[in-house]
Amino acid sequence: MAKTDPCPISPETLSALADGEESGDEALRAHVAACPMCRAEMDGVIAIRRLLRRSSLRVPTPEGFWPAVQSRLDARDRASRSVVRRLLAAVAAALGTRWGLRLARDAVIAGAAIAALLALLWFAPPREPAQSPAPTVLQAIALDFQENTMSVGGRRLPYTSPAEAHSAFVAAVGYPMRVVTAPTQRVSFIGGRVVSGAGVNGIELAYTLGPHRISLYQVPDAGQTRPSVPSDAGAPRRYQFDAVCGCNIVAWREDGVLYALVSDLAHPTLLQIANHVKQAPLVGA
Amino acid sequence: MLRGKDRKDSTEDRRAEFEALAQKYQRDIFNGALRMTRSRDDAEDLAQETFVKAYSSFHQFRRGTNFKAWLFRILTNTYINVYRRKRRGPEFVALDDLTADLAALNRAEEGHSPTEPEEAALARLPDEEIEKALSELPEVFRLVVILADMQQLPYRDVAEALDIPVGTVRSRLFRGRRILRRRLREYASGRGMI
Repeated sequence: MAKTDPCPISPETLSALADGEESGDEALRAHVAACPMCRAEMDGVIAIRRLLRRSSLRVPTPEGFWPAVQSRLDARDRASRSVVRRLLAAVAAALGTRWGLRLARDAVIAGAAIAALLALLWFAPPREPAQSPAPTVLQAIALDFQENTMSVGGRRLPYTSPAEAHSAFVAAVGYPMRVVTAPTQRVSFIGGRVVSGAGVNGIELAYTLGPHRISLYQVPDAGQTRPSVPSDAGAPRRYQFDAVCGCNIVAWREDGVLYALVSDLAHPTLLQIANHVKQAPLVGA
Repeated sequence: MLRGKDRKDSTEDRRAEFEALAQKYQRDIFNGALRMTRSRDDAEDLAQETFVKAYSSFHQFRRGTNFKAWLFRILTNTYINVYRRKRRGPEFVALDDLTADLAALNRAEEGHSPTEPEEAALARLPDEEIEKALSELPEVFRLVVILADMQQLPYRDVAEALDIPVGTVRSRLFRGRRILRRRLREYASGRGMI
């Protein structure tokens, strides 16, 4: 719309009005109905929308697209029944059945992240770890969301909210740790577990942020540097752990602990969360 | 977010339920992926990856809510996290450059009055020209145009998919459309269609 035009309605408002996203009062609609410039602008918006919508329907899916998707879903279903998952499920079954099933289901989501972390640990040279949580305590922790209880060393502790579960988990672990605390209500704690490999034990805290998953791993720092990590795209990537990593992992070392924040969130967002985690005080200290 | 809701334990049931919901959106998702990646091969990968990721997170989908919007959220996130790094062309449009472009655009719009209903002229444009104009649109606008205009998602769902406020969706959509309309008008007038 020309700047010299006396019409008071902004073209952006007309754009939103054409989408039905502008609540607009009677005066607005009356003006638009009577004003040729506004009507022309609205027509233009409707025309481009119609054009784009038509053009979006033009391209059919490639030959064999859905069968290819189905094969990959088959592979997912098979992976969730694989030996490793069965083993994890069996271990978890001894601790709390439903959380074990959750573990198996979520394993395909967290699988790459777990593989990544285990690969990290396998590269660790043999050394005295600075600090390692007592394995007997950690192995005995299981969260059962169906029953809303947590069992620690065989005792069942009830909780009434994810926040309470979070606190109870931290208390049960019994050593100072970093956590993801939420500045908003959208972060939710969904579970914690032991991660072990190469003779060290660490923990994973798992959260969701809206539709995204975040896992925070804390592992005794055994000087792991430049491990090769398998990625979803197939080719392994090398990560440098004295600097920020790329692509869905942010890692740092501090006071003898190696931290890794793994998520499907975009890297800039993950960095913000990492800064937040680093600045917040240790809990369970 | 306690998972106290009842879930089908059977993988087969879950799989069947997912396919029944998801299959009808394969064309929409593929087209969305095509517009985002501007490459047929990447689009096919991205679209497949979207369905696989959606299946993996299917337990997080709240039944009865908008499945299409949920799928497009996953598509957009996957595009941003994985494929944007691989794309050809400039990595980003510097904000200063963009502002300068829009100022020039504003000036160019002054005094303009179309001599023919825009709709008729636009409707005659060849597909290739539309695709070209769309692919040249800076990504901040292109993503919004793809989700709102091509896939007809309401502003609220576009905002959620791109993790931006609704007001930003509204202004980016307006600006994206304006750039497109100007570009297509130039093309049309250059060929004597207007």
